[in-house]
Amino acid sequence: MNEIVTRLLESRRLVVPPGDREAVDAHWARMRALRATVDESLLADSEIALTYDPACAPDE
Amino acid sequence: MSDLAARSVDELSGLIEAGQVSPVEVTRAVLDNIGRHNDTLRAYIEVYRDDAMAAARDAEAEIASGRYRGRLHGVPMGVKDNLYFADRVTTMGSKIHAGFVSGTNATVVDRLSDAGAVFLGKLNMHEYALGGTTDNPFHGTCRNPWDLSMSPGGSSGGSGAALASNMAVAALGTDTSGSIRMPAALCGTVGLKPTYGRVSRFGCFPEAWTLDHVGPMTRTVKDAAIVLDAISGYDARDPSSLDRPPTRTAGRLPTTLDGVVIGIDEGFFLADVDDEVERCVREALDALRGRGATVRSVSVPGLDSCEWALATIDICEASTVHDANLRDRPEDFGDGVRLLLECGQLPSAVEYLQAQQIRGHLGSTMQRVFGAVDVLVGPTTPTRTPRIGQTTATVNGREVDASRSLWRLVGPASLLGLPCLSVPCGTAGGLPVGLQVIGPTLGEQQVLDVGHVLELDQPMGSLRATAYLEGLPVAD
Repeated sequence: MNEIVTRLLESRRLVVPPGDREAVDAHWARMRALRATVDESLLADSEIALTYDPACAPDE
Repeated sequence: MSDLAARSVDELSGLIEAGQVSPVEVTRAVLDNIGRHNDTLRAYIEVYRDDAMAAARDAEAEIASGRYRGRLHGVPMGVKDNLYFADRVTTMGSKIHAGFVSGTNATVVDRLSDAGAVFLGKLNMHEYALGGTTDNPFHGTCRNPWDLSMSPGGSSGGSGAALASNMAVAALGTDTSGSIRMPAALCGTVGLKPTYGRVSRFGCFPEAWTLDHVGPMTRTVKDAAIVLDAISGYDARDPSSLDRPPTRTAGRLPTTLDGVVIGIDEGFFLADVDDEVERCVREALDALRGRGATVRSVSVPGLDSCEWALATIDICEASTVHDANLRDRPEDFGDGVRLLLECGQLPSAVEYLQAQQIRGHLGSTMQRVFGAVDVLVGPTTPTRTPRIGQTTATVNGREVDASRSLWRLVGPASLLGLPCLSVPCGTAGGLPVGLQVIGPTLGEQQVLDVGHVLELDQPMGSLRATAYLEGLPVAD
């Protein structure tokens, strides 16, 4: 089983039956691939300025 | 009068009100079909045969005494088995809830009851609505009446199959990630996912609470409007309910679309779509142009990001709903659903919130798009109908992952809570194809208008699923 998936499931204290592990791995890989296609500009919160912009920093 | 079970709500209501047809005759005709086909199709989990006949007799007496309640009075309907009926078992299509009895009705059940509908029973579904097939390990595999080897879609597959085989005149489904629209498309019926909050979810077992909707499934668009008008409106018992009065759409459906602007983002909605499905959609667009609509190409930036955002939110919320049972009795879930719930434990809080950020941004983008067009359209599903038991479907002969493909195009309206109708627009390989019509928030009238006008052109011709069923032996 993928190392990250194993660690995540352990941290959630969830026991996955051996028969499910390959499919959970495949799902994880599919979700990673999908995540890689996400338009990152959509992740910037539109309500709260989360990103530090040095151009906007006050003069010291 | 012949073929009563095949009539629409709109047709039957006129006949019932005029006293030309009795609710008892209609209910008996529909129950006869259930007797003929349900062993094969597995559309119903439970049939309320005696209670349905009693309710039909009550409706008959009430109407005869001059107390006609409206267009659903005496009309036999099926309800998906994740909507609660007081003092009756509601299974959610599961083993875990096989004995669950609610003390109250779902609000939608109360509203249909007030409207005088006759309840036929509870319709089969994918276990806990967590899947797109209605291959139910506990209540039987629901089959597509157009071809028994094919999937009816899901999770409201029982509703779609019952309508296509005249085992209900109208039905209710639920839709979190396409569960009304996909079976409507695959079964050649109509399905409407209303705006999020337009129809109460009180008494509907949750799948993913920021995405769940209850809506009508019918054989015609006008019938969907009639059912929506009966079940919509504010409900204080549902915290997400919108403070709006019930809709009044059925009496306002037009016959032309003069002045209506229909947008299509071909880069998203026609990418990786089967050629025959695309042909049906383009023919539907031609028909809509012929009825006065303007069709315009649009681009909606960010739609490709919907799939990840929707999948993340859906599985995280579903895993939260089922967390205790997943830990305490995982063996009591079907294999596919248990797997999905295990996967829902993997995303981080950051990923869930990023998915919600995408939702917020896309919602704003979509609002701008609806400043320029009245509705957006595309195919409901991009593939040929998947075969029962197969995890793949085909696009131009190429095998693709069935569930991912089926969910891709229904995703944006799910994620953004927008009203969305699936209406039949032709056939591919002899099986139905659905056109999806998406409207702005609270734009149910616009999507129903477009669907209704398309229906006037009869894109399905005289084809009916029951032509296939007529050759089947009678079960009892």
